[in-house]
Amino acid sequence: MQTQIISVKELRNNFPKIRKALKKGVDYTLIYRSKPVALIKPIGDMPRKYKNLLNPSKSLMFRSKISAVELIRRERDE
Amino acid sequence: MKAFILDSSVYISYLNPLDTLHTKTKNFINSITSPDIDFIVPIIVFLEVGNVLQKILPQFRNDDLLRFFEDHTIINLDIELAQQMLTIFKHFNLKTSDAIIVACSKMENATLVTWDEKLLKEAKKVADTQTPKTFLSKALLKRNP
Repeated sequence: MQTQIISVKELRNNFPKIRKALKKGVDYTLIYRSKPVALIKPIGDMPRKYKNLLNPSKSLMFRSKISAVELIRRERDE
Repeated sequence: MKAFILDSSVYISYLNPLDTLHTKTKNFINSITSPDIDFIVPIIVFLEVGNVLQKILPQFRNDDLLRFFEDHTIINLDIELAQQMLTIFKHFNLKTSDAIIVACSKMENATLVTWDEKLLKEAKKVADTQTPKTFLSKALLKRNP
């Protein structure tokens, strides 16, 4: 992943070009008055909380006509 | 931060597309999941889900289950917690594994979500307890009174 340094002025003047680069996976370090103030990253790279809950691994999926309540009751009542 | 404890019955119905409650569970999980909420998992739920899955799935791997519960807050049992739980157990009539889940909900001030009517009835005595269906209905009613 590439990281480029960019000033606030460049961001303001070249936003369409920077947006395209972000889509391609380029990260930016934003500089204001010679100091880094922010990281600009494509949103797809952001860590997403609970991503594995929302997209469970296929290896955990199963097919059974026995209800979940019944399966758990067997665990608890036997 | 709003906290939830999902009973094993909720996770198992979520992982089984043939379960009659699967779609409702999936809608519930997709609707409530956000970075602002905390899913708390009593260790007994982790173990039950793993035990059910490994009996059914020949390819079951512990690592996949750990990844599934990534970002969840796991509550481990220790003697101090167990002593606190015993005082809560007096308020309802449940077997130990059910009682641990209810006590965790009470102690963590978390909403317990279960499809199990027996657990629901007893848990309501001490903690906010709902089915995924009632939770979504209430949330919808709040948005569109």
